[in-house]
Amino acid sequence: MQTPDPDDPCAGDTDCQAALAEIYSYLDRELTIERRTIIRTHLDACSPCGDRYTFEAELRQVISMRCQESVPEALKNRIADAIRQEMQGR
Amino acid sequence: MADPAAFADDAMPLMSSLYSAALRMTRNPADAEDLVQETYLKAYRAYERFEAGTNLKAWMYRILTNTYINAYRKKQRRPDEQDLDDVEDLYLYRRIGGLEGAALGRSAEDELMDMFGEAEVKEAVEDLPEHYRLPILLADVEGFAYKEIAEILDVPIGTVMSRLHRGRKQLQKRLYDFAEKRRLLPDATTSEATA
Repeated sequence: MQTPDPDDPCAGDTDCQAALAEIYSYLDRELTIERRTIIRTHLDACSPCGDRYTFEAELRQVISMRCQESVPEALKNRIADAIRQEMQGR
Repeated sequence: MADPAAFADDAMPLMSSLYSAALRMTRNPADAEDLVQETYLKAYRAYERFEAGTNLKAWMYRILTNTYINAYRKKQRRPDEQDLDDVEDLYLYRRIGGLEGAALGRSAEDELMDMFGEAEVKEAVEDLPEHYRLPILLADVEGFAYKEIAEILDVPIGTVMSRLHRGRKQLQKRLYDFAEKRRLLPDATTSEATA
């Protein structure tokens, strides 16, 4: 599905393709230590791949931060009260 | 067996995380509040069956998710909730990845924070079809492992991975469309050149 980009220095490189294929597994901390080390070494050595990784990591941070909510005080109290009633009633 | 008296101490600190997820699931504060309250009551009543020492957060999320699916989903489903066409990997990076170099001394994260405000990110997440939205919330916002997500959603691990893969691309597409709509990009039509 991916069309090779003539301006992309990583396009024909098998190490780059392998690293990019596992970039999310790496970010998700789902790789074995061996794979993790291989990908880390590549990301440190290849700056286009390193840039891509940094971008994805920072985007994830932004998405996560933007989705944090603070709980309304009334809800906290409502739940604490409900649990207290359960503790006494049952 | 878990001690019911410890429930409040252990479970209350998880509330902001559960409430954030509930809001993205139900997409409205009143339902999110009810969903979180129901989750806490169910968890308290079932707490004796919680195995002390295992992951309480994952256990609470499983209750939250099941409660949402059983009680709220039917009335929440939106007709406009749709799968977009599949897009290429690193969709956003290919379009805006080069931008951070343009501003002196600013990190990509600062640029991305400016580009995608709270409202845009929340809307982009909430617009995702549910089968992508839930795994993405669990992985990208809450940091659960694939195996935990598989258990919370009761689907195979391979399904979690494929939904994350496709869902993340769709989220990036939606974020890009927002940025383009708000004309935050230098020139959206020639953005290939900056990527």
